Amino acid sequence: MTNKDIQNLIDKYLAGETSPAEEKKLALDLQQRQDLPEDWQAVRMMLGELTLGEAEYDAFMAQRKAKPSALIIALRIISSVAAIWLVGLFFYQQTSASEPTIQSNEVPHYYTSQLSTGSTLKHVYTSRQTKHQLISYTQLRKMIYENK
Amino acid sequence: MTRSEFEHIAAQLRQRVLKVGLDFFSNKEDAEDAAQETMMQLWRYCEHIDAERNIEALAVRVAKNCCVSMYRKSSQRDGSFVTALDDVTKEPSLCDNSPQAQLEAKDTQLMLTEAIALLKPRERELFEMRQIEGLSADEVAMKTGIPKPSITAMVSAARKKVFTELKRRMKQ
Repeated sequence: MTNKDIQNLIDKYLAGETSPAEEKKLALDLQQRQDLPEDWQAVRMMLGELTLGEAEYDAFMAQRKAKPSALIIALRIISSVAAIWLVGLFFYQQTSASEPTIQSNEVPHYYTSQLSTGSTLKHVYTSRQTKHQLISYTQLRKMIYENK
Repeated sequence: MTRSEFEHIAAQLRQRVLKVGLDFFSNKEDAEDAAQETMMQLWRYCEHIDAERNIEALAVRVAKNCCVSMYRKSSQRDGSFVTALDDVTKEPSLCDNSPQAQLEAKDTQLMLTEAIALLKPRERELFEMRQIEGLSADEVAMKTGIPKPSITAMVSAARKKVFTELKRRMKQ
C-alpha cells in the first residue's frame, strides 16, 4: 500500500467505517514499516497485538494454501505418470488386438518355422491347429503367459 | 465472567482453540501447547470479560496470536531468522521477543488500557467489541440491537478519543 492508501485507511478507521479485514490489512502494513509518524504509531497501538496476530495468522495460512506442499506435488507427479502409462497401455492393447487373426489351417510357415522342437509354444499351437480353432499368435502368446 | 463460569465453558473452548492450533501447526503436540497457552491467557483475563460477550471469538483471536508467537519463538530458537512468517510480515526485527521489545509492548499495552479506561461505558463496550472480539459493525449491531449508523458514529467517537489520548501520552 502507498502512504496515501494507508492514510485513507486510517481516516476510514477513525471514522469507524473499516471492516475487520481492512483493519487486519492496515495492522500488517503498519507492522512492516519503520519510523512511522506519530499518528500512525498511535493507530498501530490501537489496532493492537490481537489484530496484528490474527492478520499474520491469516496471511500465513493464505500463503500456505497458495503454495502446495511437497506431498501434494509428489502425488500430482505420480498421478500424471500413472495417467500417461495407462494411456500408453491402452494404445498398446489396441494395436495388439488389431493384429490379423490367423486361421489355424492357414498358418504361414514362418510362424512355425521359428518354433523350436518340443517347445511349449509349438505344442499348444499345434494342438489348437488340430482342433480347427481360430487363434492369433498374439492370443496364443498371451495364453501361455497367463499359463492357461 | 467469574472463574467458575469460565471453567464451565473451558472444555468447549479448548476444542475450538485446539482446532486453530492444528490448522496452523499440522501436528498435535504444538497444537496442544498453543491451546494450553491460550487457555492460560484467557484464564488470567476472564474476570475482565463480560459474560454476555462472544468469548469464543476472543478465544480464537488469542489462539491465533499464540500460534504466531510460538512459531516465532521456535524459529528463533532453531536459529532460523528467515521464517515463513517473516515472509508475510517482511520485518523480523519488529517482532522480536527481546526483553526490551517485551518491555515496550507492555508499556504500549498499559497506555492503551489507560486511554480506553477514559471512555464512557457504552463507548468502551463498542470499542472493545470491534477491537478485541474483532466483530464487524453489522455483527455488533445484531448483538446490541443498536442501528449500524449509530454504532459507526459511537465507535468513531471512541476511536478518536483513544487516538487523541495516545498521542498526548506519546508526547509526554
